[in-house]
Amino acid sequence: MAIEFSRNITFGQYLNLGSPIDRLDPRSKIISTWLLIFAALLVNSYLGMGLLALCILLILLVARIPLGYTWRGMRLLLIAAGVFFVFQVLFHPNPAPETTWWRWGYISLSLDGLAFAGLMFLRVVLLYLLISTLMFTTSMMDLADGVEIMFDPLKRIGLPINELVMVMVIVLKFVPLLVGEIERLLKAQAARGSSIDSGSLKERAQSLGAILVPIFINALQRAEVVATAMEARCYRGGKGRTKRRVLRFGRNDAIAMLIVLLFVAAILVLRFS
Amino acid sequence: MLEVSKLSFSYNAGRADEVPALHTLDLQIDSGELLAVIGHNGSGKSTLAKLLVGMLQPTEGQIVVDGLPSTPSSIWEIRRRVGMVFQRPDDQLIANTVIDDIAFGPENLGLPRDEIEQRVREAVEALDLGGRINTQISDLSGGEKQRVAIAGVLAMRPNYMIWDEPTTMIAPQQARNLIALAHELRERTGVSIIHITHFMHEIVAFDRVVVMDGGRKVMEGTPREIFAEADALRAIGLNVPLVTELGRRLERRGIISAGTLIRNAELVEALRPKAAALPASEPRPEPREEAVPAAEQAEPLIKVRDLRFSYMAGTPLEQLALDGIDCEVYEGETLAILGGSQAGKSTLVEFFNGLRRAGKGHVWYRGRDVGESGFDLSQLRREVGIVFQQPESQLLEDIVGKDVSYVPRKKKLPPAESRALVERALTDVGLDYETYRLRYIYALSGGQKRRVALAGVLAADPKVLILDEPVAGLDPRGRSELADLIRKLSQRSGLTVVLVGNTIDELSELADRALVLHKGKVVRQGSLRQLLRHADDLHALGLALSEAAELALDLRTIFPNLPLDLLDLDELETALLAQGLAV
Repeated sequence: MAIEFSRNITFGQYLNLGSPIDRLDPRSKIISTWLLIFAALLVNSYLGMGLLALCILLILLVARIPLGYTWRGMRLLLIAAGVFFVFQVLFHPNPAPETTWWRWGYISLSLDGLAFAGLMFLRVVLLYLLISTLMFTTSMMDLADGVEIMFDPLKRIGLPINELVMVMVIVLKFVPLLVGEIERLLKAQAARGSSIDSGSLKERAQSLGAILVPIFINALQRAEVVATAMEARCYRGGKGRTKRRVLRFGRNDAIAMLIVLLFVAAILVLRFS
Repeated sequence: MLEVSKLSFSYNAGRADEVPALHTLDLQIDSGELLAVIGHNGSGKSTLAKLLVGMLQPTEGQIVVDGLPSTPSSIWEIRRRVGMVFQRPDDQLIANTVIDDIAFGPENLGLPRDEIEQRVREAVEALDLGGRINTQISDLSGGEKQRVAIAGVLAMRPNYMIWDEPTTMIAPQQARNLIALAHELRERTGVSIIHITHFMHEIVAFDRVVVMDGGRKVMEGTPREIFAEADALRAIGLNVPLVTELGRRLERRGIISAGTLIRNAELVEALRPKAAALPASEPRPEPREEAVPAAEQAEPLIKVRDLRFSYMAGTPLEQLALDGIDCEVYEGETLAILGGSQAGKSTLVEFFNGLRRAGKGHVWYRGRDVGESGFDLSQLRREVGIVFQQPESQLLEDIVGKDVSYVPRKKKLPPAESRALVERALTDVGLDYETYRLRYIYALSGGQKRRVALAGVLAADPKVLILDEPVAGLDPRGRSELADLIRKLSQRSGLTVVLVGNTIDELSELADRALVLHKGKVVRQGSLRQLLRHADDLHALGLALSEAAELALDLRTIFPNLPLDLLDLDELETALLAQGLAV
């Protein structure tokens, strides 16, 4: 195993593929994502889930996101969701007796259990895909601007929206740098003969634990430098700050929203009819 | 005008642990002036910079920027007038894309949108970033990041810009472009630039130079006036440019009398009449390439064949790093691996000690394939020690003794043996065992941390020592101390040393043999002298030359027979005299 985390951490990475989805107004992307999340939480049939999956697949295709890349980032999630799936099947409460094939105390194997756990599994996977698609296709600044404008009304009740968004931007910007730092420290450790890619499980855990302190100190020092650099460029919170970028809701946004609304409406009709 | 009068500053002023950093400094900077501030680490340069932008408040004395005294209540206007560019490009860029980052400052000033657009456009044009405005910051090179940082400050239309050692963390070629840029920006916008550095060759074209030492201003004048005081500079550990020194020597011999020379072109001009007076001679035949050193016939310690590797393989962000590398490292030799940025140097050396194995191709250590199952990687990594770039940020423990004893402890050596290794390693890097053993690492200076990191690798008693860009961020004194240390180590214990770098400098000159990498391929191979004979194409491969090689290349325009394979001033002087120069 080589030490290259960044290759396997796909979440939160903006890919800048220049697709029509990339160019949408961030507000329409954020709202669409919320609507689809809402639909995913409500959906209770395989037909509805199929509709939702179709919609997400459509988005992935239009956004030109390579499926292999998405797959690589999902493997860990799939394992976790798989374990969860098995538990849900085995511990399904009150399975209908006519479709229960095997039962031992609380543990059973039934069609009901399979159906229920399957829906749950699909829901988790689709939610993950939704949020990572938003990140793949939206730059951090777009996302921040969208969030800031959408939450603008909350400024009136005194919430520091600009500051909160700035914190989010900086945290997310420094995630890759932090990952890089962890990689470097692990390499430094490996170069000195103790390592996460060899030795017993206990030794590996110890190695990983040992770098926490240096990581923390480096991150703190870095935070101080960044704060200084921001102040040197006259950043003093959102007050009196203006913006270069304007968000425009265009024709493509209207089309995209319409498609998403149609899907969501269809899913809701299926759910409540 | 930026006026500094009787400025003193102490960290923790008024407390028991007060550390004085500046002593009654007077300084005047005209608007539109290019001022260089030069001095060693710890001379007070960076403290001065922080005071000028209002990030620290003076303990005593006053700073007045264009009539506005710097006080806690005026700091925002002071910071608008005095912008600052920091040493590390990564720490000062806030947004994700180039254009958003440049707009960050003007947005903070609360300017209307079209004014912001206008300023961003100007800054983009001034720094020639036109093609990159929508690029992600993380996809830029170090030099480009530094240019974005400058654009971001420029867009705030400051009257003064402080550059706090912006060239130490970027490749030499990019550093040179940055210095040229200082002049261009002044012409274009009338901004005054205060460039803080410890490299003399960067400041020859500045209007004025201030030399600092121990928190005091010790000299002030034009570069020519300053360089004329070579002995005074040497007393505080600073050197004059090589051309100045060569000019002095030639003047002492009575060959030229042109006063203090600060540019290569000036020496060329001073020598031109002498060169013209020489009888035209037959072009000297290029020396025959000497046979390969004897060591190369032996079985190599490390052998690499057809190595290929890409970062982020299989993702849209894939980036080719190694493209079919063949090379060897022989026991006991000192090998330099040279190349510009993105050449694949750092990636290659990580294959040498098995940190990376995911590539195509093979790496053998002592005849055994590293990729084979059952190969003892831990053993390999202890025998092939690697000191990474900026090792000071990769220390694993909090106390010096603990960090250096990391490997001996892992190996579970008996305490006496472990202690002996640690003591020897610390002594080797010039840190006294008893004094430093129990010190906290965080409290050490950057240079001391780097020594500790080196000691940590030496304490593993490696057979091969790899140093990845070991001079980056070091001042000239630190660089020559490191060169001495490596020379000592390789002579004493027959240690095999691999030096990775981007410049032909005092360090790569220690090498018996050098490889030049370009875009993941080995494009040149041979002794350093062999490489220097084709010095002009080394430039094209992204390598920077030593001052001596650079000067030899310039002098060759008037002495066509001047050899280029010269390593230092003495050799250059001898070669020049051999051209038949007379009084």
